[in-house]
Amino acid sequence: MGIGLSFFNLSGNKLGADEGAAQASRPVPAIDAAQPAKFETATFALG
Amino acid sequence: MGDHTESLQIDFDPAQLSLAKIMELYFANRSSCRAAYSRQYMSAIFVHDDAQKNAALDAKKVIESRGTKVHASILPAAQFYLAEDYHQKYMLRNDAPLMRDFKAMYPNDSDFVNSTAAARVNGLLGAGRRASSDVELKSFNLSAETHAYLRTRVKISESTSNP
Repeated sequence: MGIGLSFFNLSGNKLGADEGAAQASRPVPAIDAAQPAKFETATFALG
Repeated sequence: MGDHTESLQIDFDPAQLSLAKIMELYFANRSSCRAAYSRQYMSAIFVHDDAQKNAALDAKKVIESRGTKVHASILPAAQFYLAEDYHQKYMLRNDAPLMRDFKAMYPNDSDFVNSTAAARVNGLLGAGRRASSDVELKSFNLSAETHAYLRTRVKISESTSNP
């Protein structure tokens, strides 16, 4: 389950992206290592 | 910002958390009961299907039946874009001691943004939510030093929460 601030665009301009490649020097938490089978998605703007 | 609206996209397991409960939490936020002053900061529910639309309408009716006008718009979901990095996990990103560990776990920022652990720690720092227990804090896999630091930054609900 992930929650992050994002922008919802009703017509469509890309606002940002990030990528890279590096090695982790610390193991990730189990909650992130476990991949969920299938999630549903809901989107909200709190105003 | 043009026609963008700042929003949260939530991926959830309906076996663990129902859409109705998410709607209840959403409408418990008083901001949805204020009129929007801009598209960027409007209250809205972007529905992905008819089931979500009906759940949103039902939840809105419940609130309005109590005499509270709801200003949240219910709109069809369109394209969703991630905001710039500095918006993501904002409270956590600005906490240097915690970020040392998270950077070690997630050297790639996209992995950090997608991390549930990062989202939860960010919520603990920013939303005033209490951790359910020290076990929850330990589940973030932080170093002993950083875990001890996190204990000073958040409150824990359980009464027997000694480290």
